[in-house]
Amino acid sequence: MSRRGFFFFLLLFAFPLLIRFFWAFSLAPVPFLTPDEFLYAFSGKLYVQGLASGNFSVFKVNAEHPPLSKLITALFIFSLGPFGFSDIGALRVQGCFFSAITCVLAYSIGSRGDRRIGVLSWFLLSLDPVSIRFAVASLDVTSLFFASLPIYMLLKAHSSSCRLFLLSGLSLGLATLCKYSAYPIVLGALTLILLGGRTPFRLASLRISLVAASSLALLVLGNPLFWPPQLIGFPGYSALLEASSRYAIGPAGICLTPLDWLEPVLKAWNTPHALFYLSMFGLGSLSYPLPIFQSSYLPWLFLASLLQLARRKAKLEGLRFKSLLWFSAGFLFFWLLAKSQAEPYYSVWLQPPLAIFSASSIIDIWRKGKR
Amino acid sequence: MEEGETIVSAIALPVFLLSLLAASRLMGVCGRTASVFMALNATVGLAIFSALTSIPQLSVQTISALSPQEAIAIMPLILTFELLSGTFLASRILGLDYMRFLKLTLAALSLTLAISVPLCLLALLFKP
Repeated sequence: MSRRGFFFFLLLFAFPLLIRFFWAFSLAPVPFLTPDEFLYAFSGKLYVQGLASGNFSVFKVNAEHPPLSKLITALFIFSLGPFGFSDIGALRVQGCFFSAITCVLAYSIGSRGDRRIGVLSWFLLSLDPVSIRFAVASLDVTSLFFASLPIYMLLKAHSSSCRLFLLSGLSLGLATLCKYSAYPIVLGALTLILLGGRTPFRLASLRISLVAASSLALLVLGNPLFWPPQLIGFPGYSALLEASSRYAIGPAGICLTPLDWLEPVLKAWNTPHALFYLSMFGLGSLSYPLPIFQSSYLPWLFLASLLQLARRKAKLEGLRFKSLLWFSAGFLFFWLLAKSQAEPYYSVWLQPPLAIFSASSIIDIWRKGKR
Repeated sequence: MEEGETIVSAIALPVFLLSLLAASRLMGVCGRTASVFMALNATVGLAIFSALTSIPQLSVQTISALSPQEAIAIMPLILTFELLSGTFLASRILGLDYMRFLKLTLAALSLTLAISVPLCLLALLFKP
């Protein structure tokens, strides 16, 4: 990379970083996300101590989330602590760092189509209120960075090498080691992209299997909860299930997706409760849970681009089509996930594909207007 | 989370995918096109309604505050709106025939309902 190129990338990184720093350290209350900001910093330090002493039972703490992002948090805490940063401060630096580097990645992904698309994607994502506000959601932003890498690799023109898919799988493994949501979103996006790209069925299955298998292998190797009980001294998988069961919602805390409201409907048929459960099913399955349109301009740009596309009956292809499918995989996953009814910071997952799709559409309209 | 607690999702989601493939085959539509179309249909339909919920009178809080009877009465309207808008925009941006893909959507949903409701009832009946 030339000196000029280096400074260009430094600028691409520094601008969103400064905006996020300003929010995280001047405007955001401490704590902003409770109890996450306390819990992840505490768990991260505990994991490092446990690993150093060979005591794996520490991984029972906050077992519902995988350990990588929390270990990175510990790294930030140990590195920045001597400079006067509190644990929450160090966790916020981590969040801002990964959120800013995701903006650079959005530039790189957008540049696969055209450099102007890359710059506009970066600009839209850098100033996006949701990405700025929830840069402190350390698990999500760290995972989002690693989850965007496979998309970047797979958007490479004429990507046919197995190595590329293996690398994508490893990157997805790292993303899943930060947050499990990355796995269905990226695999869903990859499946839709391969289906939409008319890749022969056999080849598409092989590629998806390669990505899925390599990421799963890394997940199992990297998360002690998946190691044999003889090695860690307790059944890790049971600890994971027990911790995850706290995140159910619905009647008696049992619903996993909005569709599961139908179970109490069927059970309580002919009782007044059935009507209530049926209304919950309808509301859950017909309303999108995350308030994305109220908190950011990107969904509005996305919708306007879609309407413009439909009006012109333009053929959707290339980067714009792939970013739409990437958005679709994330959007449908959060629609199905019951927990996203309660956590607005999940929207950060949708912003990079929205920024790239919107940037691509705006540049296309601008180009057509110029002709 | 116990296994039996997610019975409807465990049955309805795979049944929907299979119904979509069966309906597309019966209608002579390529399975891949049908899958991509359906993902975009659902995304666009939900996204448009989600945009409308930014209007205070249609906000999620307002809809949630309705009585169950009122909520159930407006649900078919929301579903119809999402279905029609999602199908229209998804078919336009993919360059597909709107009516044909509306039929495909309705066929897949009807087939899912016809198969999964009896299956769910059976599963709940035999659930320990």
